[in-house]
Amino acid sequence: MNSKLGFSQKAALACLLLTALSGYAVSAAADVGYNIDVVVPLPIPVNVEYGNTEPYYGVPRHDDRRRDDHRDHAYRPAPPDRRRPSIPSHSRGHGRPPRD
Amino acid sequence: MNIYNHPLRRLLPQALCAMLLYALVSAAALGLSFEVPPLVAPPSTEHHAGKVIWVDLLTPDIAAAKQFYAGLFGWTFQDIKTGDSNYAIASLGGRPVGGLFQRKASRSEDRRSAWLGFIAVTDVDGAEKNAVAHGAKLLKEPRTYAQRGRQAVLADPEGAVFAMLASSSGDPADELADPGEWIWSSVHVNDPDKEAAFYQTVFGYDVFDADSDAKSDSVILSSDDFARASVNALPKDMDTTHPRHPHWLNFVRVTDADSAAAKAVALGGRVLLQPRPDKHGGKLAIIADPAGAVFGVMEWSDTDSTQEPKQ
Repeated sequence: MNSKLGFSQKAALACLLLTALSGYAVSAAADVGYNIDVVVPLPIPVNVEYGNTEPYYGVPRHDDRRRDDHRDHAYRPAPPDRRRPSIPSHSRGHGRPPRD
Repeated sequence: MNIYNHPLRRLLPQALCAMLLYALVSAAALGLSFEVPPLVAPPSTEHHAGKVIWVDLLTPDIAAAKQFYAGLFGWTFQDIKTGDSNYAIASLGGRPVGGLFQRKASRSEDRRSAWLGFIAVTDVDGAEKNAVAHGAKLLKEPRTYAQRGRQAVLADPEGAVFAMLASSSGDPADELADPGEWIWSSVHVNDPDKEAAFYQTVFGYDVFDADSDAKSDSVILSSDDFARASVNALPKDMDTTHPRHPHWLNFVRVTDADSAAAKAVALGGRVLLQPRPDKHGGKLAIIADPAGAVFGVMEWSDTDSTQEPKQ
């Protein structure tokens, strides 16, 4: 048997190698699909009301009258002289107004 | 039989080349078929770490979700085929407001439907490691989507699920949301104090008390001098038969919370918290869509955020 490969055999082996690589590319491309499928526990069981909630769920308003909080917290409270912030008040396309 | 002299030998290279061409075309087609749009177009250089900049709905029935949210908020949808999953971008007035992701069907309540908020960061990998080091659990490894950016999904130390995103097109500008757009977010947990510390550590928030009179455990998370979210205590009336799970809750701005709640019911949703004034201002309601995803609706006037709270 002649151990030397002819041009056709070399071309065939090259194609085989490239096909294998492109097959990997196909599988990799198939994996680019968007996937955020994680388990998010439902806040409450189905058919149960949300329940008695405290009245501070909403957007805060600016408030200069912040208390000087001397309680111990796990977090670092913002300095009491800083005004409590709210959400942006200017509409789209009008830019951010000058800070107070 | 000598295979080297087989008549088909000459056809082998051509056949393999055809297979190669097919594989390359398939790969290109799959790659090109999936493009999650950028958050901001044209791209901006704005970055607002700590801001909730995107929300995705995980739902087992994307068609039903489209019908519900189109009817409730007037959203329109652009389908994006992503390999073996379905994804759609919801828009209002031509501006993207969120994504709808079709999850695999499951009878488990935990996998029914949920809104997932994405918090802006500049370095997802660093923030994710920091979060995990402080008690979070990584649910989806950081991954880059060409136009959107790099993102990861985590559960905070109490189990509330959130995502972080480093947008490659910049973050949406700090502007007042229009009706039909997301305006506010809150996380509801057992220990607001410790959870606020966690989010402060990961996102660098300034933390303010929500109530000047110290009547509440709630706190406000702030960045860039804007309120970004509140940390609230879970309802105190919980019992063991109806346990509540720590969770994030996102609110859509509406012009009439009563009308929105009624319309949600007519579209197959449920009202979990009847419309009522919030002490901070505005009127809000909490709603579950037909598949169980919970979100809020909130009235907010253009001048509300400039007013001082009423005492």
